[in-house]
Amino acid sequence: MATSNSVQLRQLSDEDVMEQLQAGVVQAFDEIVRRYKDRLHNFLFRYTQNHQDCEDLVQETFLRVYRSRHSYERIAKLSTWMYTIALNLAKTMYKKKQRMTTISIHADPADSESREFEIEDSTISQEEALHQKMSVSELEKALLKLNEDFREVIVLRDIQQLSYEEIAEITDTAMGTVKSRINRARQQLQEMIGDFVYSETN
Amino acid sequence: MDISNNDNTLHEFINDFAESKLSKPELQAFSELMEQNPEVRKMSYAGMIIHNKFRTSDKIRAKKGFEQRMAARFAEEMKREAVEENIELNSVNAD
Repeated sequence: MATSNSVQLRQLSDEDVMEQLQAGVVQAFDEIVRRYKDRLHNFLFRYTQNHQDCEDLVQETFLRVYRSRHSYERIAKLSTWMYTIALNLAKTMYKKKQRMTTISIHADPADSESREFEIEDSTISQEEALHQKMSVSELEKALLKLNEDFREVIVLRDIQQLSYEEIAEITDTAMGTVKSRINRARQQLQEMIGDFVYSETN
Repeated sequence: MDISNNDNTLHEFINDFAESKLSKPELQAFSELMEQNPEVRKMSYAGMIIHNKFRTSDKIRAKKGFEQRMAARFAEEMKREAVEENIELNSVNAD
């Protein structure tokens, strides 16, 4: 049965909302956008390092979700299906960009005001916060230098905090491979930003 | 000892150590292994540092007005879909 009320839609699971969209309830699309807009921005920014490109990619992901709505089957979690679409778009865009130009590994400085820096410990000192910010920025640069297989598992696990099962499904890789790639990728990142890590562990 | 990509149990332990998910007895046993194996120790601590850094890193969010801009693009998509459906319907009727 179609549920058109947006309050009712908010109470449904992701998969039920998708079912509503498949049944022709257009408001279900807005609900999916509301639920996933930040998650997809956080995910896709790691591929674009630019807010405008990231927003374009997020919009394209949502449109693909709409266009392919009838191919979605409830056997998969909606989030897994959406990340698969987003990752494929990101890979295509990244390859295109790599062909066209050398990618700037610096984030867009004009956008700095819109990036919220989240530090969980409120007692952290200003120097520590600065150090944290610097090392995270080194890490973001290093992330772009990783090979594609390593980068995607790190973004999905450490940034998006998805389960190994979901990552295996999204990347179409065996779970054991996902786990070993995560370890190898973290080790490579640590080697790339060695100075920052060394100063923190000593 | 080289860490093989196929050693699933070891990779699982390294991941769980990096994400602080080992139980006390598991941690004790794994610490002994790390003592004996510098490669495992290196990978485990690297994992922990990198995982924690990303966990506390910037969260990128949609910019203000995103939902409105998305709605505008979605409206265009609906229009395009309606036009395509009309063309399809007309060609069926013509047949």
